[in-house]
Amino acid sequence: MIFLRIKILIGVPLIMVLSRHIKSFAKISAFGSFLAAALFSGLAQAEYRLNFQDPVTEVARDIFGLHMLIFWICVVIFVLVFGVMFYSIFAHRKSKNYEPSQFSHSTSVEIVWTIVPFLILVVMAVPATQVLIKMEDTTKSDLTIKITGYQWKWGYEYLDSGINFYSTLSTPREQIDQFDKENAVEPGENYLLETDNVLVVPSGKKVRALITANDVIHAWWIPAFGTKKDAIPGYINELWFNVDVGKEGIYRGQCAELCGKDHAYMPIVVKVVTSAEFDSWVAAGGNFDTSPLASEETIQGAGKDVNPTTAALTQEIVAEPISSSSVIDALVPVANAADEASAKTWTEDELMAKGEKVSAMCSACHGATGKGIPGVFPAIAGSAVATGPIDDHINIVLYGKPGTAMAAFAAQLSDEDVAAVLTYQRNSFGNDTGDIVLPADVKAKRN
Amino acid sequence: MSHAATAHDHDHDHHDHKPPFFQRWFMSTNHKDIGTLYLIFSLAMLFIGGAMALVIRAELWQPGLQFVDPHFFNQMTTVHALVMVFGAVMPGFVGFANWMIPLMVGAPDMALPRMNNWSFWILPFAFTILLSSFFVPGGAPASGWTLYAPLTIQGGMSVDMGIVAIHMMGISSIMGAINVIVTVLNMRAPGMTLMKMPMFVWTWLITAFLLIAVMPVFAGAVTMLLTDRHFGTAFFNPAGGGDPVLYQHIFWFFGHPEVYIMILPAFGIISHIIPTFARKPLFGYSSMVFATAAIAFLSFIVWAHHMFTVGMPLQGELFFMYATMLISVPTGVKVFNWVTTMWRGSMTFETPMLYAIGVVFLFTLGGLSGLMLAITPADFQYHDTYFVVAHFHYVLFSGAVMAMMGGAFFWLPKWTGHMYNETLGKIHFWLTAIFFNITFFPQHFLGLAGMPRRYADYPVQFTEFNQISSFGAFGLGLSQILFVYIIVATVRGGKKATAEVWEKPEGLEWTVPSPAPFHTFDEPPVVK
Amino acid sequence: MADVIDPQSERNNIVVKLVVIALIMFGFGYALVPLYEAFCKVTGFGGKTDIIAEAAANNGVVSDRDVAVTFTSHSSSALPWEFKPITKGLDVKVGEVQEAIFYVKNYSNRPITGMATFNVTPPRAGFHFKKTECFCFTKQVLQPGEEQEMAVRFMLDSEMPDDVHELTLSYTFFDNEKYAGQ
Repeated sequence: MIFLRIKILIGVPLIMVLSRHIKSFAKISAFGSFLAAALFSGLAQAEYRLNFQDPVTEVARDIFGLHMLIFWICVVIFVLVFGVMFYSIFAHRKSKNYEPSQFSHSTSVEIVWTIVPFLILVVMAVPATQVLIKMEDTTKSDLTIKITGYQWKWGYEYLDSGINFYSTLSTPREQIDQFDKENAVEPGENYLLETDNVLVVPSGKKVRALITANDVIHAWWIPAFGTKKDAIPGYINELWFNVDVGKEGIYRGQCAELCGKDHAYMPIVVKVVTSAEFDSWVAAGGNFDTSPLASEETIQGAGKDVNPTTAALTQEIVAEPISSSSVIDALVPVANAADEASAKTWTEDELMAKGEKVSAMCSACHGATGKGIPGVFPAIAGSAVATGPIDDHINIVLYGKPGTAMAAFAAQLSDEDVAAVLTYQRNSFGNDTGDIVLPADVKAKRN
Repeated sequence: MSHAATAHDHDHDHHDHKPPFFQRWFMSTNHKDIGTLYLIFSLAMLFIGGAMALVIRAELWQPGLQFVDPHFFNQMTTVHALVMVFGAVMPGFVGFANWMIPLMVGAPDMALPRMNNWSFWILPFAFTILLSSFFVPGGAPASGWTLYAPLTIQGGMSVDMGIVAIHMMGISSIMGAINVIVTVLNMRAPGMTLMKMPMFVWTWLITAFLLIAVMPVFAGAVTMLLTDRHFGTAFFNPAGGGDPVLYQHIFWFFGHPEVYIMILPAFGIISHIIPTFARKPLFGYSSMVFATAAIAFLSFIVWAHHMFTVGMPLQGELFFMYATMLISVPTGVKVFNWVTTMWRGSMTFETPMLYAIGVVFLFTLGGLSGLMLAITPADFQYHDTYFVVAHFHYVLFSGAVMAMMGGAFFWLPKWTGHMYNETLGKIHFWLTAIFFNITFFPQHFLGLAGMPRRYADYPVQFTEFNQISSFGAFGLGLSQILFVYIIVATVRGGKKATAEVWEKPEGLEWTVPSPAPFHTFDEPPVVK
Repeated sequence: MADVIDPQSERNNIVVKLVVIALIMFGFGYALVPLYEAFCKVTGFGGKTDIIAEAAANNGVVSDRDVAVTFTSHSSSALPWEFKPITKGLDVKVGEVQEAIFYVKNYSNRPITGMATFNVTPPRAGFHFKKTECFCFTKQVLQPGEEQEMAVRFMLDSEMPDDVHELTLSYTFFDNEKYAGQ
């Protein structure tokens, strides 16, 4: 296949022209201060990819082949038709005193150009049908993974071994928020394509994915695998992929169906390992720390403190010994960890510090400043819940709010997480209750 | 084609008693004035929607969030699309229909002049409601113009305002469509049989039937959304046992014919411009008519190609793939006919002709990327990426909008009685065509490389093409100021236009003086 | 001439017809809801399942063709319920009536009504998956702390396409509070 990655030097003057124009047009000072940076980052990493990412599965290669076949057919048609048109434009013009003929129909010609395109379509349809039949054959898989789309993260569950975890964006907020230039950080290499936990799959095995969603429609897509399927709440979809042996490595994708505010912030990272490595990873309970995969730096965020809340949370879940018979039990990591934690004495500072981290989970909907989105997601700042009776607040966080999108966090958060986040919310965003919520208070409300 | 047998020199001053300003513009029942109102409205909406597009392109200048937060970005993409589809393109074509259909079929006015007045005056109110939703808590609708459930069930009160606005636009379009059909069926000049009608009238007649068939279905879908949101029904909400995919089926049952509603009248305009400047009759008139009808029919059985990724049985995917591919046959016939019309003509390249050639060329490019999208296995890769964004802008901007611009230059002398400035017109064409391609051509590459659409922020490897695209977008937007300048200048003055305007053009509209008098064809012309 | 039709009345006639067509199409939008159901049945769209009476199900001829059925579940995060399949998978013979058990627990401190949606993949197998009894037929009310084992009884009819060797039945419980009292 043609390798269509071009590093063009032409891009540099173009960007310079571009930046000058935009500057004079828009006169937005924000633009100006970014131009230099854009220019140099453009120089450093200009990558003008023109075509699909390199396929690593048979189906993705078939799709690539089909795509190129149809592309070239279209190019030929385009060149022929407009070759004729431009010849006519140059030859048959009044300025050359060309005498117009007055023909206005020709049945034979019209029949020909109805039938010939039809035959071309048949030529396209045959290979397309073959590839499609192959794509839809989900039988005889070696491994089944259930994928659940959430606003705005992915949940993975290996049906055969029971390993399950969430996978959340690990790109630091300072790289994303460029409103305030002082505190902004240059986006990194895998900006928006990195997660705290990664999906691990073996190469050379047929992996079947069952896909559903928790709230709204999402879509799970890894371009290099040639797979894309919608994740629809209440319904299940399936797809399969089988990554070539020898193509082990990290593959990245993104959510492909508009799912609300943070649609662009729920990437998918898949680590493809050899079959043997995969088996030992499963044997280690899917634990990134004790499996052979642990030492590799390629696991995003697992060791870094980028998104400590969810990273810690998911590791906690994964670290717990999981009996293969009980999958969902693992999602309720309440009992053991919470008992130990509630024995500890917590200070307000500790709770506030922990709470600030845990509240990253809440800010997905309620906003980083607790203001929410009026009419869609209510504010925490100054809300009746966060400034009213503590018991009601605990109840809402643990068990959700009936008839709304407010999730029940009892299964996802430990007692000290809930206590910390409540303490934080009741004393932040302008809320000034002075309340301290202790893990024991939360435990008392658990059913 | 038709020839007017009678001259209309008597259609002069004594018919031109125009009512005072308020009555003339607010209570108008005159098809020309209402057409003008529609066209001005459409142009205003083009600028409002375009401003939103520039906010989108500014935010996408580079990775990270610089100007707007993702929620506001989603409002921009959603309302940009709603304004462009329902505010700019559809009313624009209704404006052309109002102005030109009575002139083309030799009728004194539209068949239902009072309804004509209503159907226009609903629109400003509908868009006031839609645009004022930016100021309610939570901002404007942010779930994409497709308003997919269950995301719309989650939205704030702006979704309800959007639904009300859509109902009003729908009623307006249906009234406009009824008016077109009755005018065409009932008010043609003696001797103008259906198969002698100008192509623009034919394409609009078929478009009008499509409108009546699918706008009510869309109204039904958004009504179900509304009751799901507030009145305890569960058509689409899985929490009550509903099926979100059902919404998509109903939406696209409307949505696909809607695509043709926006392009068929453009085909009509092109079919007038090319023969005029090739000085040669339109090639294959009857096959043009049948191709238009075939496209309209096929548009009802291809809807699910917008939703291959929702998961459907193999047989379903194959059916919708084959049916979609078939549409390229009648569409191809049209393109071949246009090219053959030019063949061995005696062409000149005034602004309308440049636009017509630009439309044929660029629309075909969009059509071919549409053919690629029809191929289901490949569609799994293209779906919901910038490849799709590029595709439908090639079809909708360089198809529909540029056809309207070409049509505006073509008929502007007839409307105003003045010739526009040819040099400026040509400059406008080249600016528009070049900046359009700078904006949207790189988006093909972005989509293929894996950039999903409706993203406020993107990975760093997509930066370069996004910058090129943003640069083009600002150029494209600014070029349109020239368009407004040319129109205003032409309305105010310029070289006097003759009745024929161009060299021996076909059609009744060229038999009346320029500017077309306030009342025309009080005595029906006879067409041989 | 005497037989000239009054253009005004002919005009009104067309308008009335067109308005009627528009109203019918509005109704058609709603009719698409049941039509979609029928469409799914014929084409296998949506992976919807069918219902059959227990007696009729037991009359089926049991073939020796095995289909591996996997059960999965999800409980919406807005619903404080734990929900999992106890029967993870079954090898089911075409024509035989089988039963799968799911576990559900309300771990909150209030009574809650839940409602389950379901479908089958591959979708073309849906309408040949016939349930005689299912917790998904009705809304489920769970008291605080209440746990339950719930059953679904089903059979695969003889029309099950030959190339279906594996299928998955999925349930998702949602908070039904918004629809309470209906």
